[in-house]
Amino acid sequence: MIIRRVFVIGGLVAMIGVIGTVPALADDLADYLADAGEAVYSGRRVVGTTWDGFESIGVVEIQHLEGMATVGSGSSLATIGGGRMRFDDPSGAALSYVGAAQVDLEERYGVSPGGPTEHLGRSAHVLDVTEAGFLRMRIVVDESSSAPVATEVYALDGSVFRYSSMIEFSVSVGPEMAMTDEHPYEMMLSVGAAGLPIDAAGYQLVDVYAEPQGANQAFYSDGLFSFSVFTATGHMDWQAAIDGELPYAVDGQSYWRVINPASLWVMWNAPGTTFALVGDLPPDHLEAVLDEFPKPGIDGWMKRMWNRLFG
Amino acid sequence: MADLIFDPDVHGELFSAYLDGQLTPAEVIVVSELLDGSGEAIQEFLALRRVRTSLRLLPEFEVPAALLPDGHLGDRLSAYLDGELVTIEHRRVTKHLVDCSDCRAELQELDRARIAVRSLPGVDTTVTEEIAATPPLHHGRRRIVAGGLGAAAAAALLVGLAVGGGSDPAFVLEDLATHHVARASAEPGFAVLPAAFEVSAP
Amino acid sequence: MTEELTPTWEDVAHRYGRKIYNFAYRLTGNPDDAADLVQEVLLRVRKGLSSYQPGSFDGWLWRITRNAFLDGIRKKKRRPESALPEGDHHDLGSSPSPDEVLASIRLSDDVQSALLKLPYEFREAVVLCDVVGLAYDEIAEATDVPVGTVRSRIHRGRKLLRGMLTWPI
Repeated sequence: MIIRRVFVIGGLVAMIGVIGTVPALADDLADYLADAGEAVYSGRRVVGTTWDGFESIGVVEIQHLEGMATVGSGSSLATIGGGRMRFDDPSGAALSYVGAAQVDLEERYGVSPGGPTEHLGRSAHVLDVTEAGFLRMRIVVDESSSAPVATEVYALDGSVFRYSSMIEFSVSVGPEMAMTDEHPYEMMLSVGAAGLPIDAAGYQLVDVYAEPQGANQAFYSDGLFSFSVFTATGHMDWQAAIDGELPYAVDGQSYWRVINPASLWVMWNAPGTTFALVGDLPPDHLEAVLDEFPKPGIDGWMKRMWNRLFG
Repeated sequence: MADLIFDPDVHGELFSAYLDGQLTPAEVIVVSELLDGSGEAIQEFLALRRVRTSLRLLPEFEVPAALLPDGHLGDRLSAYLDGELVTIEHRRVTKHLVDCSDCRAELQELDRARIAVRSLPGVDTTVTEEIAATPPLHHGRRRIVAGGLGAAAAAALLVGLAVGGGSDPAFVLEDLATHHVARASAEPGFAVLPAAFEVSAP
Repeated sequence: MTEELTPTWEDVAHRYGRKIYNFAYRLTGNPDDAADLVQEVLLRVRKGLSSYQPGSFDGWLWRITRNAFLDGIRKKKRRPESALPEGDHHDLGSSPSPDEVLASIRLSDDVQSALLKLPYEFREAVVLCDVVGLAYDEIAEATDVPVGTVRSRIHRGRKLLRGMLTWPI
């Protein structure tokens, strides 16, 4: 079976192919993800992203139980999992993606066991996640709890794109990790997907949700990574919206970009529609995905020039 | 043309089928001949016709309204929440929910009741079916004191501005991140890909 | 796309609900049983619609209806079907008028009582033909018997009814 991915990197189109048997062990990755979902642990975790020389790091407190995680730092605490999220603060905002459809792990992913290792003095073992023959991700799995105590996601050139590591770890959670119900969940309902690509560079369009005020959230996943593309008619002044602009060019097109410890945001205006993409996908995937969506075109470039000159 | 002798056991059935318009042309000829000749045949025929008419004139009742769909979702909501509806039905229910605030409210209530039934280790709770009907229990929360991202970084999280001519899209940047993370938490990858509260750190 | 061709559950309920209800009512003589049957059929239709292959919708629907009815009978402890011996009949009518239509209407309760005395197969065949209005081949499909058997059952049912009901001479 031939698996081909097309990568667009700085204008150069590279074809990477693997000919041979379907990568085995795709099922084992799904199994491990399920185990990791059920793991019980808590602690502190450092998360960081390195991209184009920029680095963004954060430390979060985490408690993880039955597929739910309470994550946060400072005043920003939220309990997330299974399609629900609730802010544990006075705003009490809560979202629920009911009946969210599941997508199968893309066949490009395979997993192979790495050797035994140690993390924070605890026995662990390594899981290597391959994608079409190259190492995409490495997970250090705590032996007794199956928790992912460290992860590294690699860019195409082998450098580390995103990493996480538990810096404090315990296999129990606090007694008060509970779902309170002070505020009703805002139910997110899926709507039809008009005009969006069903398949973007290996990511399947899973659902489109109606955002307030006429925007839409299109959720894409390849079973491992995922992203949401938010669209709205009109034009958004992204430069003003983001404090500090990070230029980002793909294939001659200009986008705005925000690099966060655990995710990327990429925004742009296409003629008539404004886009914001939020996700945890690696940069080469991102470039291939952006190729599938309407481009900023000259429109975006002109507005930027205008703002630079007169803004 | 041989004379047919009317035999009620044999020919009666033909009369019934004749009345129902279910005879072959050949059989119709037989019936006509029988009715032509025999008074007994005619009696039988008329009697059958009377029975059939009585049946056909039986009043047709209206279905009690409660049995018909009222346009709302009723017990499909439970199945919807459980992910049990197949795609076509799922899409129809979702479409209805988008338009119908009554059903949305009912969905929220149903969902709320289901959440309240979760029980977690260490919490002294008796979970019964009755929880669905009573106000949810409140548990204390431990304050988690975290280091790391400070106030300055938090302040960098801006609300999106709709600026410029033409239609004003309203993106709230904060919402983009939370909506994505909330949805992504339903994915298996959520277990290994770290979620964090995103603060822009340009 | 099949999605557009397949009726929705609401379509089925509104278009066929009445027939289903009356089918059950005439078969059981009991409005509660009839209501139960409608609910059960609509439920099965709803579940079955996802796997329904476009074809003879009526045949499919009436098969479901009949199966639901029979399942309902099996579940409840019902009076055993009683076959009325030939020749036994009751004098059921009050003094009828010569007008056949009027006489028939006045007799409708009597007809219903008489129907309930028929053996099940005959009753079902007669109701499907004269109450629901299906053709013989449709009844054959719904009841899974040959057309000839349908014809015979309808006739024998009517004959038995005739023996139970009286009209002015």
